[in-house]
Amino acid sequence: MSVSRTDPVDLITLEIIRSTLIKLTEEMGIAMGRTSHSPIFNEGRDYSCAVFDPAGEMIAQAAFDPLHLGAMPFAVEWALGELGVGNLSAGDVILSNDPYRGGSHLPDFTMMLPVLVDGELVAVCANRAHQVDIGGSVPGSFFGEATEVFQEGVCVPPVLIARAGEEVGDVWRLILANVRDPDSARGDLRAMLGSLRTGERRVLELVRRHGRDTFRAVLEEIKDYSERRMRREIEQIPDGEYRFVQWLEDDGHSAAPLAVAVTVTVSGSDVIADFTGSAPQALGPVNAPYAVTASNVYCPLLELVAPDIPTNHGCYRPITVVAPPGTVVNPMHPAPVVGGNVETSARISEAVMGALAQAVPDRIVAPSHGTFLNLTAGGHDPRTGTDFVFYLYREGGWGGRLAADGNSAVFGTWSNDRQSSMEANEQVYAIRFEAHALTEDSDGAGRSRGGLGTTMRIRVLCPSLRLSLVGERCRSAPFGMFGGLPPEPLENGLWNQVTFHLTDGRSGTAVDLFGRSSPSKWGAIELHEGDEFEYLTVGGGGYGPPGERAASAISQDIELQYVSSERADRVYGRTPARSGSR
Amino acid sequence: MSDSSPRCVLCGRLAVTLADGYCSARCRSLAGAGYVSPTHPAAALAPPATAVEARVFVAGELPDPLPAGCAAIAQTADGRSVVRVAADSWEDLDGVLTDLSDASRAGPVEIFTLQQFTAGGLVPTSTDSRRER
Repeated sequence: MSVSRTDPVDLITLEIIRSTLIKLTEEMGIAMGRTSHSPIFNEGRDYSCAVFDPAGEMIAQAAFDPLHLGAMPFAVEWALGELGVGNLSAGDVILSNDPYRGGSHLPDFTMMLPVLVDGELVAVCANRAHQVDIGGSVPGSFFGEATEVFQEGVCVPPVLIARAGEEVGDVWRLILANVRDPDSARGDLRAMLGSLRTGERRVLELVRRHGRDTFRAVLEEIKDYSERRMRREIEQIPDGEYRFVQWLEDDGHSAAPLAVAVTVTVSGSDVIADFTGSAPQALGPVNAPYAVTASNVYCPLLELVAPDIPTNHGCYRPITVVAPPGTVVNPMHPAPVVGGNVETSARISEAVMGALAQAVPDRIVAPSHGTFLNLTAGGHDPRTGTDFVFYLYREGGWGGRLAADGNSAVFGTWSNDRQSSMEANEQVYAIRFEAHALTEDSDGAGRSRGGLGTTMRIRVLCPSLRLSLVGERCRSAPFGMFGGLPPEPLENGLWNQVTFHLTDGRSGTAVDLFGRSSPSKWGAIELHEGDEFEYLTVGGGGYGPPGERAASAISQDIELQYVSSERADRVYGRTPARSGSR
Repeated sequence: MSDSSPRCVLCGRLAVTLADGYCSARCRSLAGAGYVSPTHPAAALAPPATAVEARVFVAGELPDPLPAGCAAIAQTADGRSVVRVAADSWEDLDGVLTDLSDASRAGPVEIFTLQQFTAGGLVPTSTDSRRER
């Protein structure tokens, strides 16, 4: 990291402040995880923490959820602009989840604490976390058949939830009156607040120790350094226009697919990702707000560059994202958006990767299972006499890459979340996990095969459970790259899916049993005690021709029961057929 | 919030403040330089209508006409064509790829992506939609 002679900061001080800022975001995350109420927080880690400068530009983050982190700056910028920096005081805390004000989708609350010294704003500590329920039409707020954002929950524009260190009771009461599990929401929101106050303490310590001028100078240099490194990396990508189109299967209403089309233009050290050609915004909840689209351009680009570049606003400066208004990648209010953040996001990311694969094929990862397969549910727990809401989302397989197989049973490459433990979920929700295992033969074959998907089977333990789903890739597989194959479909011809096994003996998908339009997007299906549902994800796409896979790797796959002997014989060139069904 | 909210005239993003219609100096600069959004050919934007698809790179001149099931959809920076190939089965795809390779006058056909859909692709049928728009 270089500093010119006129800079007031020596390199050691600069590095101390930079590293401390990153560490304090980690500490914010630890504080949030340890004090939160819901498994999605303390088990799934569906949250992110960062520090911003007074202009709302990100200066430090840790290894949280990349999807959150790339989108958060838009919410912070909007909140500071709408409320006015001059109107903020020490101890104020801002809350927002409005997807049309820089947010992503309603379940993601962004909380921001301006850090002031002698009345001057020196930084903003912020976090974003997924709430298990934010109201709306269905428990868990993932309504796969929504047609307006109003059906997806309570929308909170930037408001103060604490003023001068005191909670603003009216705002808390308003929010908690509109969610299904106010006790969990209160606990989780207070965990977010505690996390911010941890960050504030650490920032104030830094400013006290090094002085305001030094702190300010370091923030600028941190961003400039990352920008220089990022531009140097982009310059290594051959100039050109690279096009790619990916498909959303449906929007939960019509079975028509929706194009996510991108042209990535690399020119010197600048990149433009232009989504002209993408489908008009959808009736259903697959629309991705601009912040989500931008974040899913940043993620794949950051995956291609040197991993030691500090990720902050400087990394984003060389990148321009053009997303025509009124499209599925930049909808107009009040289009529903809950699935845009979690499903369309993956298609956007894959489209950008697909475009860049034409420029730098050796650095690309084949697509993952490509869905969170978001399943939410609510019911009444007879054991405790209380209502509950849960949110489960699923891991699957990553795609193969040049030098390695895809990882198995992990969230998509755009997320660092974890599968929450079965035991923790069973303790607080009236469900029982009957199975959770890697699924044999769920990978895409290749020289580097995809990672494996998983199977989860859950039994309902309460009289009535209302389930909703927002997913993707039920009717299409992740693609294989450079000769690698996509995963094969299950016996019913689908890939990722939820299938029901009812106590009356019937089995099938939401389309088969409940007359829904889409197997991957539906709302409020009612199950009863003893019913079960199987919740399956596929693996990732293969990379490179299967015929080039090392014999030792194939033997190990068979030994570990990742790949069956029958399929190994078929896909690795011992018989000519390239595909079948499991 | 409504859609009378300000959007950058170049990148389309909703922004709390705009200067002369632009959200950033970069967007203003691109507009000033006459930036025009690139487009995709119709063949690239047509929904998948078959069970399997490939995208392949073809070096050199493309055959005219292309074999059935093939459509040129892009060109790479190094001058190769990207051809979208559709088929009802893997076996059919192999056949089309062989036809394309045989008809290409220069260079081999290199597979870029291989994708599989449910039978008939993702094109809706008259019976599988509850609420058409």
